[in-house]
Amino acid sequence: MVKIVKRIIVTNPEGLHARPAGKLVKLLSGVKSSVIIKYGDKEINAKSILSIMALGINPGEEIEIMIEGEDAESALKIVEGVVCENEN
Amino acid sequence: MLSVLILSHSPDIAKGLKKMCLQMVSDGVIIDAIGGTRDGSLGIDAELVLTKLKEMTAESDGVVILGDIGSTIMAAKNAINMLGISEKVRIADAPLVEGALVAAIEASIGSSIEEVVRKAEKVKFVSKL
Repeated sequence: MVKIVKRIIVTNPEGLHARPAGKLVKLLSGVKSSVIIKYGDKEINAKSILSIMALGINPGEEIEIMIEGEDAESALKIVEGVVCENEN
Repeated sequence: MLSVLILSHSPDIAKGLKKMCLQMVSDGVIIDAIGGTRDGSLGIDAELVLTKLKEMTAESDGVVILGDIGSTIMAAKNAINMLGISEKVRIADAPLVEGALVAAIEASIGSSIEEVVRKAEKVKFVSKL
């Protein structure tokens, strides 16, 4: 069982709101590992759209990702892909 | 592919919620919304619900309906009965906004109609604070 804990700065210009949040949940639905986002004193399941949106994370803010499971590496790539996405 | 049909007494809520859902999921689900009566006042156009539901069941594998209050649900139930398509349609007993967003995402992932309804109904117990 692989366990990854990583701090990431959200550089996606939209933060983690509607569109990126939807994308993240959709992509993570194919992942077996558990994916937790820690933001401030809150810890939420990154596979739950409402939980992500409730955090209201803006660009430039730091989150901590905790992933545990056999496909943790690919889960991390997905999270980083969305959180650090920059379309410009 | 599944469809999500949003029903509201308000044309603005229907339109706005559809827009919110489409912003989160761009593909993998058909999303539509009906709000207000034919003349644009508050209520629900039962005939339009019937037509839309018929159209959506024809073009997708199943339809999950979310309504706001009272007569939207009644219009949905009537339409399902009249069309005789209960095996392809489910009404999710969920808060409209949160339920629709979750249903749209869940449907776009490719989940079964039962799973979409289950997830949408679960939002009743999600705390916002």
